Amino acid sequence: MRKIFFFLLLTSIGYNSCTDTLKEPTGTLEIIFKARYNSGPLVLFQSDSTGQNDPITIMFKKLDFFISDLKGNQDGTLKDFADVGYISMSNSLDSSSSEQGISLLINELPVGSFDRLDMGIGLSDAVNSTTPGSYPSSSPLGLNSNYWPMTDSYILCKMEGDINQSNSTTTGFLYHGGVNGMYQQRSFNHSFDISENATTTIVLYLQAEELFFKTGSEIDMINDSQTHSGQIGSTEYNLAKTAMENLSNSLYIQQ
Amino acid sequence: MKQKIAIITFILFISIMSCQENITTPDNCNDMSSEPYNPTAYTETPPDGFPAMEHPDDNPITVEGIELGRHLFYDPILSRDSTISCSSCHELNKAFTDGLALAKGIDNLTSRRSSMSLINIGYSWIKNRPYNFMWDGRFQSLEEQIIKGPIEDPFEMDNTWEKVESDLQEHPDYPLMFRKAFGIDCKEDINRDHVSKAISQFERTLNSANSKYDQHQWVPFVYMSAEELRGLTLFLGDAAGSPSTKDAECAHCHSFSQNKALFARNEFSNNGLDSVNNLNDFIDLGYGAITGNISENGQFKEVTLRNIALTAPYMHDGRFATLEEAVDHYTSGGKSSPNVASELTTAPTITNLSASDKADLIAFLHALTDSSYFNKPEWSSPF
Repeated sequence: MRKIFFFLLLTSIGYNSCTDTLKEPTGTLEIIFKARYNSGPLVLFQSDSTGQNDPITIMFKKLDFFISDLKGNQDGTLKDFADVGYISMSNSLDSSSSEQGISLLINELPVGSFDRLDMGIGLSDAVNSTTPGSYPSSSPLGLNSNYWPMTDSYILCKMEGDINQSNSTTTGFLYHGGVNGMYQQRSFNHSFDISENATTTIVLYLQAEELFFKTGSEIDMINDSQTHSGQIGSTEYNLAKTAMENLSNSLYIQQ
Repeated sequence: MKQKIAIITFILFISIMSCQENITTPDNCNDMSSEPYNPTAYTETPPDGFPAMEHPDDNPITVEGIELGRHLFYDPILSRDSTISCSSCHELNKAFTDGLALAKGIDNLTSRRSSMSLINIGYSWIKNRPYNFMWDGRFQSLEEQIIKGPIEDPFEMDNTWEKVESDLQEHPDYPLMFRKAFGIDCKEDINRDHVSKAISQFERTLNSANSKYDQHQWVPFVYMSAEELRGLTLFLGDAAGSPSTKDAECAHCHSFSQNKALFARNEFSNNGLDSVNNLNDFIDLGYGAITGNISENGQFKEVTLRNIALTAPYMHDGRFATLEEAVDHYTSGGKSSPNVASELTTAPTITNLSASDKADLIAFLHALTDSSYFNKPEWSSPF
């Protein structure tokens, strides 16, 4: 009888240890987003010179955006990392906080070597057709603050602040990208390893001056100071799309 | 042999120790464990346009909990001299506000801010956010608001939790209600956590979604008037089509969607009430005082516009007596300060609204009034 008991006990221990070993090893990827303005950290509510004739200075007050469809390329196969994230630079109220950046942790990723990180800026049209009531409040998709009833769309990006003109006028700017067709996709060639029970860190820089002042994709912040995206094909829409494209193109990976 | 005795002694010792928690001496327990404890889960379906409400995992809503919470909400036993209750500042037919610019507490003392509406209050909870409730967001949950808020505030109920707990434990009726709601064994087990959980459960049932707007959305052949529809168009602004020449810009902050029609995004913002040059110059720092972020000074909770016509006067300090005054404030463009909401500073046509436009807008705001719950027995005083 005692022998049977020990046999069952050993069998049970053996089975349980087997199920443990069958579990795929996983690791964590931390993506840190750091907003910069020229060579320094971007600090909200702080004026920076634009280097332009007009406007002369710019002060960011808000810089938030959705990212989505994060994937890693492993031996030619794209592995899903995360569906949606929301990056808010709201803590960048001084140099040190801005330099620290905003961390996005993605847990339980398959271990292995990757050579590319893919990411959407904004939301695909399919996700954008959903509404906050379908998600819990713990998801950025579940918040009315990220949604626009006017266009039945999420607010894909929010860039807000003030500009100071050469005639000493201070005016606000607001570029909210929403509605379908604004989704941007980026691929960052970068080799990284996901190791078991370890965290791999990738830093993405957002060069904020390129949102408005990069040669070839400038935004006339004085005459086109705001957009809520409007209807597809409208001036407002085109302006918002430029802002979204600039946002996407302003991201650089730290090698 | 000695080893066996030692093992038996050890087992007996462990058994006795594990029983300790369950043994309560007659001296400190007025035993109620013979009373039934069969709480009934509250399973009301959310109204059209509303998602299922989220609530803290450790406070499931039950019929018994709601009923206890309703009694506590209306009972002045919570205040120092038993003169005021939660309902003193949150009256049912005023969308659970009090009609005053600044709330009045015990001894007729005036608080520094206005009473907030409790309509649909449970939907203000954003699970992972530390700041949710009150004008300045100081409380994460309704439960925390009840424990740390009015009971011991000298301008509100000026009581102590020790006295509240003692009064409830000695009450002829409450102990059994606590037993039914939370399964306590002894009267002495009644504590502030139970009180806060019960009132929170009651408050999570105060959901209103039967306004003319809702009926327009969900009930066949019920329509808003032309005036109200024009107001909705102004409320939404650019949604009407190409960039509009008239846009009240309301829906940026008082946001809603088909299945989450809260008319609130539950954020904090500076809506241009005061003109200051420096972020430290706000008389009331509001949200910034709680978060410690200077850029959030002068920001306050954006309230839901549901039942807004019932909640005058308006703003955190009740400075606007009427909806007309509130609308006039926004259509003036608001006052200047470094962190005034960008939705106001970049609203190109907000100052273009005529008197007729404003009347339409206000007509739409009235269409958000749900009077169907007036004097609803389940929400009314049980006393």
